[in-house]
Amino acid sequence: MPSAKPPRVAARPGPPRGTDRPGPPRSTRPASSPTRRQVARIVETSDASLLDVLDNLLSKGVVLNADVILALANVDLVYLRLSALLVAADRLLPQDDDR
Amino acid sequence: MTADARTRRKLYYVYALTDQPLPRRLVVGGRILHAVDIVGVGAIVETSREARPATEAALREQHAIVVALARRVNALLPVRFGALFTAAELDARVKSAHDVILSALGHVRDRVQMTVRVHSAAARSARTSAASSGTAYLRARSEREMAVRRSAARIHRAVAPFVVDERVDAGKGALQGTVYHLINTEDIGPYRAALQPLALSRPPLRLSVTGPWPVFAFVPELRRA
Repeated sequence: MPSAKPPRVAARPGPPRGTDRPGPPRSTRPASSPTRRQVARIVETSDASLLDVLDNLLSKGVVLNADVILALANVDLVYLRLSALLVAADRLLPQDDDR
Repeated sequence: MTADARTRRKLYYVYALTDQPLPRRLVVGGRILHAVDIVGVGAIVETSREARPATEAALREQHAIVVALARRVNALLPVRFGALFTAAELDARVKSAHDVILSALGHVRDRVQMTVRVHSAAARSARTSAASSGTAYLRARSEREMAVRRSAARIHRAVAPFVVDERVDAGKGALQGTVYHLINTEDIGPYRAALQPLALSRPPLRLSVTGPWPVFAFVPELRRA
């Protein structure tokens, strides 16, 4: 990877090794020049964010049984909201002692 | 009940399909899995008695298992969450789509999925009010879809040499859309590097790049039961 990095870009040393587990997400750092306005950002993470997990497993993957799609309809709705809000799905589900 | 009848009634939770040789019994993520050969297609399964609740923990666990499986073979088709079948049902489903499955495995061999999410300020401002007219809603939706296509086209231009296949999903809310790219495993580093200039491009694009993942977005459409 080139040594010069754009502001707030999570540097990655190179392609991941084939047998290694993905490392923890790298935190972004503030721009080195505080007067420069950040116009865009590329955030890279090799860890499985909840959004990736939901996206990959609930809306992608081989569909062997259409019934599964119907059974997961409510979860799909939570997923859609999650993709917009980036909030953990379980915390949106009503708990017994909530409210 | 005969042994054969018990076998047919056995329930399998299916994680993935492959055409690569695997041990008949393997331990992944603390779970005991089995590779069931169905006329050359290996279904990686776990014997189970009940469906799994779609909790965060269960989803994360399955995702981690599929990622681990993908490291063991050079071609793997992840199965969507919740696939529970009897042995007979699984056998019939795989056989009915045998050629499609093998073709798809060939398409993804030695390849991975990269996921690029586009978070656009323009998308956040283009909210459709619940009180707006149907025409306004349709216009806003059309504009949003066009914006997703434009963003996807810009991303594609940046990484075109590495893209084997592409899928684009429109997003909601702050997420303008998601672009999935199928790339060769050896192109992961150059692919990421090719996206870097988009951070400074005009108009601005805010991207989240994740992966490499198993090829969840590049699986075949199977005939529904």
